[in-house]
Amino acid sequence: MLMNKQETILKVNDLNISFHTFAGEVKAIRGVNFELKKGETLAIVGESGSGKSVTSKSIMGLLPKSNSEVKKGEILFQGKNLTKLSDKQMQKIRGKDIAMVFQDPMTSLNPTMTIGKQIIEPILKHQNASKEEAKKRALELLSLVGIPKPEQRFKQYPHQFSGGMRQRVVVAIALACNPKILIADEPTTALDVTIQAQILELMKDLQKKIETSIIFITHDLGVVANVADRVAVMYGGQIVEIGTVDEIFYNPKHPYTWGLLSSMPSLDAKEEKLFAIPGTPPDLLNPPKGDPFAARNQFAMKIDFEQQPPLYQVSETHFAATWLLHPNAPKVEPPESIKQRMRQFNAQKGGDHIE
Amino acid sequence: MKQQEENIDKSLFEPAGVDTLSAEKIEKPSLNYWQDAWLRIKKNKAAVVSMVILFLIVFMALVGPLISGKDFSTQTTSEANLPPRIQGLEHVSFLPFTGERTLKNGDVVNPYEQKGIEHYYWFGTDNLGRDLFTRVWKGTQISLLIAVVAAVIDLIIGVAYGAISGYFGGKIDNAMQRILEVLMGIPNLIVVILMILVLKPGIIPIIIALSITGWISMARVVRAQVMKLKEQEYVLAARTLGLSNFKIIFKHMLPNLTGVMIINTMFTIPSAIFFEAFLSFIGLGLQEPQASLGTLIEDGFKSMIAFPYQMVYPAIIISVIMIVFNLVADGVRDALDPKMKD
Amino acid sequence: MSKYTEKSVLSGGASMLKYLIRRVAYMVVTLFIIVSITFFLMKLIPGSPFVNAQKLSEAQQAVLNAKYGLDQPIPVQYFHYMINTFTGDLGVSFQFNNTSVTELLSYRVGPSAVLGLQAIILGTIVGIFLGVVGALRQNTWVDYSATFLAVIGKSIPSFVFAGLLQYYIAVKLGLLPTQFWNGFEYTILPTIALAMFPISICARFMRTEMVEVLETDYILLAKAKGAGYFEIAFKHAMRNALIPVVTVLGPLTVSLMTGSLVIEKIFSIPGIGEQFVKAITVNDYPVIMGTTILFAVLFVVVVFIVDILYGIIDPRIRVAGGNK
Repeated sequence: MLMNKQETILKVNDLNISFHTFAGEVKAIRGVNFELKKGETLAIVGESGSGKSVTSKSIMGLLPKSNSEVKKGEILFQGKNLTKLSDKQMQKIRGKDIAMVFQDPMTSLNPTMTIGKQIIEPILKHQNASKEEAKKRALELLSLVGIPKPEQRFKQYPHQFSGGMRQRVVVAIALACNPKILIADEPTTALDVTIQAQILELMKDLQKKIETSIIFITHDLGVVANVADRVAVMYGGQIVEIGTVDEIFYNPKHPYTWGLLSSMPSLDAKEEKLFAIPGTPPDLLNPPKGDPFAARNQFAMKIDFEQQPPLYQVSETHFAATWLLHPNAPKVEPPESIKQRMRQFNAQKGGDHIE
Repeated sequence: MKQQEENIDKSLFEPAGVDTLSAEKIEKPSLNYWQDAWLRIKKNKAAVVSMVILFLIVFMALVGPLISGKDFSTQTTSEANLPPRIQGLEHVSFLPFTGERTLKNGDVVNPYEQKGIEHYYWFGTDNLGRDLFTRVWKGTQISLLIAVVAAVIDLIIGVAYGAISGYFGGKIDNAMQRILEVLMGIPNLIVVILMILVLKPGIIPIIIALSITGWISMARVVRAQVMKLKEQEYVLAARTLGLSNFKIIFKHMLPNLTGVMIINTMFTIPSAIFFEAFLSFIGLGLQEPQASLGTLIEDGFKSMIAFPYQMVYPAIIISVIMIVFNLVADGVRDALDPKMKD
Repeated sequence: MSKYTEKSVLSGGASMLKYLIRRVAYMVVTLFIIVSITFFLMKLIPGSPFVNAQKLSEAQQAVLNAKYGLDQPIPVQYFHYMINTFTGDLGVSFQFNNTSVTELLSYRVGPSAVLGLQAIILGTIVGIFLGVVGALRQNTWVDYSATFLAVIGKSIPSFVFAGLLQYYIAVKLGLLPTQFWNGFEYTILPTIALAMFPISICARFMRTEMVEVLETDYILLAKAKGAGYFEIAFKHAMRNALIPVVTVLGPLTVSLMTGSLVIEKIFSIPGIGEQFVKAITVNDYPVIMGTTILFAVLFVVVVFIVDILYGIIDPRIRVAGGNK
């Protein structure tokens, strides 16, 4: 799966993004750092309002210029800082080197254009191909994403496709120019469970064939387990924990991650009640000065309300921003289901950690 | 990635005793629908300014004829066609209230002085020597009256029709909608003109003619809203409790319809004012000596070239009323429409 | 997943036919109703239709009544009237003896049609332009000015515009002729006055539609594909925003009809509107009825065309869904 020495394709450093609204400045992203390596799938997980969509749109430069501002930080791709590029320069990258798939397939396609036209558009734009070549490639793509009778489908309009098929078309469009990075913003949330599985299979498959790196944004941990190599957990505009899939699922360190994992219904769980994290995400107009999760965290310490925790290293690939990892912090008992996971982890790894 | 080496006070690592239940409370105060709408409308500067102007105009329409000291129908032919003159402003040469007029050959004369007239006509007089200031505001009164009454009738008929059609649905709705479709296919203009021809011009006939066609848009809008509300659960709850259909429509749905009713009425009024003025302009308006903005413009138009002020003042007033109503109506609609994001 | 069936396009065509037939039937019914209403309302108008009726003796009135068939029972008159109307015979004008109404109207159609078409073209082009510009530059001074212009165009009655234009530009500045219809420059002021309302309707509508379209996911996806600003605006957004604008043609036609009455009067243009107004003043019923019917027909036909157009230009309707 993941080899540490793989090439880094995208590096986000200390990204801070704010929105200027009538009510004031909403600090949506407050110091986000992560890397994306070639060929890997990084999942970004979090609730609504955690900042995951904003992060992905900022990579593409799709945030509305009128009220958004990158206050600090950089997004490094192919030696350039994407936050500093003009729109014209970004246009050359979008669709070609970095592509995106959106959440709702019913609204992602232009209803008055044939899907054929919509697929060849990026090809014609970025690859100097002739119309015939573009069409050929489009037909290939349609087959690649599993749409039968591509010749016929090419001339049809979006309303003639079902939801799952439309999402396949959107994926085809995204992969048309073999992008280096594919950003999938909750691509399966709006689909039926069975279709979800198909789309995920498709993406994993295509990733192997085309060697794209994928940033997969979702709030659904089940999907993450299926698809991701590494996971970043976002809360209150910050990444609170990041690590490989195994590390996050079986050795989580941040109370928020514990909460997320506990609220996943599981056949193994001994607990009767379904756990839910009480409360609501913090108001980013006046972000809390300490750990953003403190107010909802039953394990919070006084310092959680005073200072933001730094990112503690748990392993070469695993980091968590929680004061619980400070040497002075008391030992806490994570919820039962989490402890179970840790036991499994330790059994497999011969153990790294806390009990 | 970094291990903190700082000396952080050990006491800070004590549990903070977070009561997770208190985390459930909601921060922002909750506003009801009307408070929310009021906040939104206040932000719309154009609408606010327009509302102020509207109040002023309505005020003047009521008070204007009283303060001028003159009557709207008294004819003094010896004082016909006098230009506007206002005490105190008569020597301000760039304002048009000096009592002077420019003849075709460029001469400037002051008919007041020429004829030895002492009193002042603030907007001048028409060709029969009637005070235009009084007539203009009286006319505004009448135009507004006609428009408001017509709008209220439209409201009553439209709401009733739309609510019944939307609430009962099925065959009743189908039939009522077919009728409506046919009615919509008939241009209002034609019906209005024909009605006036039959009933002969006058305040009541004009109101009737305007109401006959105006209720249609209200009916459609109300029906759409009722159909939306019908799906809501509280209607089902009321039904289950045994509430009669009539009561459901009135007690539960009506309050939720006020939004669309207000919006639609705000747009109906300027439309009625326009129609009335239009009818007057083509000769189907009120008869002498009654004045409405439309008849005043019509009269003024006839002598527009020689005495432009006779048309200009009523024209300005009607234009301002229409603009202001439309801006307020737009503002109200934007404020009451829940689809608006903040 | 269901299969795409070829016959869905065909069945799209068949249901299109059914739809067409329904619309035509509806059109005929509406016209029938309008003509009937017109007839009965005319019959209700008190007083004699003849000019200077008081100067005529009883016997003379009786002769005239017989000549125009006014002495027959109403249902018979109605029957004759309907037959005549649907075969194109709209009677004879009372004012201009022995000139058939149809003939009168046909002389007058020209100027009105030219005026109307010019106003529509000017109105839609300027209106759409203002709407698109306002939407693209939302909430800037450009947007506010465009919106304000639209409000003004909608609020200020067309006859006020016409009067002002005539006074300031034609009379005071002498730039353009004040009246009549003798050449292209005579059409300029009336066209502008008549176009104000269409401009404002088109501008508002277009702006609303454009704004809605610009906020959709598919526009965002187009941006994500690397499309540039103008491409997004014109290639992607406008084709979607323009479709609903077709519905505006109905109210536009009405505004042109209303407008033409006053504008032709103000500028003394020999069109249908001017004739209608004159006929009203002298109670020339055949002309009144004939013109009413003409307007009604025009309106109903326009509504019909709009319905059909919608079905043609929106692919979601034109190509019936294959599988869902």
